[in-house]
Amino acid sequence: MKAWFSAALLAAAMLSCSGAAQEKTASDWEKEGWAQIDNASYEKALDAFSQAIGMQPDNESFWFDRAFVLALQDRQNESVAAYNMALNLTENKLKRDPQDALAWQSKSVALAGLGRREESSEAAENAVRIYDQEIGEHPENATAWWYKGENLANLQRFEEALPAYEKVIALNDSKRLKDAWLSKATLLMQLSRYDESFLAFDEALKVIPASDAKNLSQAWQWKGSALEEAASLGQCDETGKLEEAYQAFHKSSQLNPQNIWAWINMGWAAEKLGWSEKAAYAFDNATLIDPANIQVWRSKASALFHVQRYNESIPAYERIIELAGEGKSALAAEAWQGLGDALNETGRRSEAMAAYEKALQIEDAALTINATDASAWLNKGDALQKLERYDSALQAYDEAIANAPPYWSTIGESAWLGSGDVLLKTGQYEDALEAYNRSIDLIPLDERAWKGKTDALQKLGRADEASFTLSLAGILGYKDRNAANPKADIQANSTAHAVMEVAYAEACSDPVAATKTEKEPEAARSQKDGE
Amino acid sequence: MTTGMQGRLGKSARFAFPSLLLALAVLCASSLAEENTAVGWYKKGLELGGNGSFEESAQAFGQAIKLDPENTSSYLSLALMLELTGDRRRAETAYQEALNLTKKDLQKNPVDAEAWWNQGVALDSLSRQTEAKEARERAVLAYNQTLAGNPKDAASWFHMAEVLVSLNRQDEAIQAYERSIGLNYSKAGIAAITISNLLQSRGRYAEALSASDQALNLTPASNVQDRMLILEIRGTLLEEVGRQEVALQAYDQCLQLDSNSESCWMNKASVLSHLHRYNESTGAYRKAIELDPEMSNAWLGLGGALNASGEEADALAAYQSALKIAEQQILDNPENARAWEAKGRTLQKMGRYQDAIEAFNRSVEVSGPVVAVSSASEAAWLGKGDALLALGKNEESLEAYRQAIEIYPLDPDAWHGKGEALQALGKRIEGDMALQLAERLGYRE
Repeated sequence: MKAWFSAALLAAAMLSCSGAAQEKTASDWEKEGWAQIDNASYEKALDAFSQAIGMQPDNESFWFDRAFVLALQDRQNESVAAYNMALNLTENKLKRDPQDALAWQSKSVALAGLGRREESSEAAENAVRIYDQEIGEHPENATAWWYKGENLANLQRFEEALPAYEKVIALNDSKRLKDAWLSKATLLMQLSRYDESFLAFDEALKVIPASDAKNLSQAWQWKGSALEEAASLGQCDETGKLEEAYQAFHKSSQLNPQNIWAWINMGWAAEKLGWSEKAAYAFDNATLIDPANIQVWRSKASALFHVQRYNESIPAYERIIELAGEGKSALAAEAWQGLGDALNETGRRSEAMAAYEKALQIEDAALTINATDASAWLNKGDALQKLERYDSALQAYDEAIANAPPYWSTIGESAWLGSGDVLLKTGQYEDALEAYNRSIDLIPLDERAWKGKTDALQKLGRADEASFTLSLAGILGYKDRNAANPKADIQANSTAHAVMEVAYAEACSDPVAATKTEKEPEAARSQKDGE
Repeated sequence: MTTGMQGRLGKSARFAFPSLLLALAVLCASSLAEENTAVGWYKKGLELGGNGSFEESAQAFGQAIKLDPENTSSYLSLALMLELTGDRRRAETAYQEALNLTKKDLQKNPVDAEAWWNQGVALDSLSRQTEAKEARERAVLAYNQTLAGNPKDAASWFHMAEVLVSLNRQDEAIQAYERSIGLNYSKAGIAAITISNLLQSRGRYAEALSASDQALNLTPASNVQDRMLILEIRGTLLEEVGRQEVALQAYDQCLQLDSNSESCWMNKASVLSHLHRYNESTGAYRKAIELDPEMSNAWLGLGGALNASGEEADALAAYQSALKIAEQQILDNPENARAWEAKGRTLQKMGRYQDAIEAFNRSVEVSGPVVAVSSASEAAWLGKGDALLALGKNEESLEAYRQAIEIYPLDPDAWHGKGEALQALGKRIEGDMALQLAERLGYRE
């Protein structure tokens, strides 16, 4: 969800910059590219953006588009090159006109893409300053409010961005009304104000004309994702929220049966609800829309693996390998590893080892071409770990860490995590602990690192600390697959199942209803006393 | 997020809160000395400890030991109370004495499950965790043996569950507690609230709430002490899931059972502050102070509530009272880490950040091992982080939060501080993730 949010904002920023394009045809290519991204056809999107760049090489928007879609494909070096190109172009623009707020915004996005955060923030703040001047002179200028909101959101100053979008809504700017409601909904989600967020999505849905099925479908899809995120917090009415999310994705797929992500998200939600047949139907539909779409197969395979339907995930991985062919070696290597994992889970150990070997060969070939490809080093480390060649795996992870990009990415975290796992398996517990700590420092939200840290602490005899880290892993979603289901135990054993339901409803209901529930027995008692 | 008993103990004891209370509840079930007077003092000690009168409780356990010097439970209870008063040295002596007694017991009977369990507690408290683990595993084996002979022995299931919790085998522990509940064990309510506590610690809040309700249903109205304990734990759980109004009702129910419970008044005062009902909150804090004028956290909470309602002069007076109490405790025992930490927090509230940092540093210096109940390290690092952040020393502040998190990674305030420090350093993505984690852990302003 987080990635979706950032992508959505960046996309909005980029689309807003694209207004500068004069050539109709180049703009058409850009639109075509984004439509392909919506369909998860990243190669086709890249082709479309290349066409646009060929026509207008000085338009930084197209370079952003290119950088974005390359990043989606994990082609980080090429993505960085595209961001650099966009940065040069925006700097030239600013030399000509230092008051060009859109150029400052573009510069900020480019710098963010390059991991130069402080400079990125400064550029976005310059843009906000210029829009504030404009708003001071023309407080009813909805466009200025809109861009102010975008820059503040990119600065992650969500509390401040919110009133800017609310102002766009209050000014009733028909051109941006739908997007303002959607942005408001997204920001509210970021602030964990889910109930308000759902209402904002509903307002966005009201604004979109009934004839615009495509945008309606997308809004329903986003609302579904918000519901799913709220459900994942696990505090109250998890199942109810997840069911609503499923319904939202269902609605989205009905409105636009070509919306691949609606089907995939529907499949995921159904899996989480334990509705296996509905999930299978949704995934099948996604792959039927575009049977040659490798991204859809990736989602399908990983979803099936995630819900432990290993046998069914195997043909999906095989299909990815087939589609990847020679040209998309990184995706093929990833699929070989996934296939290996699935085979391993189903007890086909020797076939699994052969699959890992295949993955290793592909990564080695990639490293022959570029010995500093951090992502290839990371994947090589994973393959070696699964092949139980631990010393070589550690070396590969070290290389991944040494070559990790200077900007924020998940490579460092994953490589430290991998190192931790290897060190744990080889009995080097102090070093394993340090590796998990490094991983957590980069991304504290990964339950695997907390579980690894727990295991290392246990091995070191530090049981008290281990109990805390195990709790944290649990809160972040770690579940012991071998453990019994305590909820079932409680339900089976308890004589007070109905009472449990009341307690649950009481704690999750609104305060007024909860107060009533608490007071009821007292009222009943006084009535009885009166009798 | 400071509440009642937690508030009284300072933030570092927050994680120990339910288990401490539960430890007391469980000790009641332990086998007691034959001698009637020793039993009387022991019960008195438990009662006083449960009310938060730790020094008086320690004295009572001391009396019990005089009359029955061979009782391990009395030594362990004494040690716990001494820890809570900030006297780690004397606590260590008591743990050592308990350890020696368990060794004697085990010489007599090498499969004495309770002796192994007590030995695990003593060793753990003396920071000898590897040996503690071994002792607890021996206890599991001994209970298994007992239960193989008599699977309907509810008390053994309950004790087995306790040992499994200490070994982090939580799912097995839940099953063992369930067995004791199924066999109508006299402490079934405590078993259910412990299940609730385990589920809460893993973020499974809805199930935890159900279990806490079950705990109330399993505890007869006549067992006031256990019902109060369950209501307080249920209240903190409700607060964690953001249901402050319902939590308030739980604390009110607790006060209906005993209007002189300091911890219930503290919890009530704290939740009222979170609900921005400052006038009522000051009233509740004043009630807690009336019951124990030496409770520095009550004065500190009162100061906060007064400050929020704009009564700054009265707030300052309350902070000064808190400071005076902490300073007196430090005079009494210069190695009282909790008192140093309380002094730091009070100075921070008064805006004296540099002085606060010095007090926090001192608290870390004199704190025992971080796993000890008496340790204030986590809270002191957290306070230091906050003070450094207020002074704009972001790098140093980040390091202080890191230290706090290393000790207790479930502290939402420490993650929130880390997130703010990272953002102040321009690391927005990392900062955002730390803030997200703080929210997942129940952070509230």
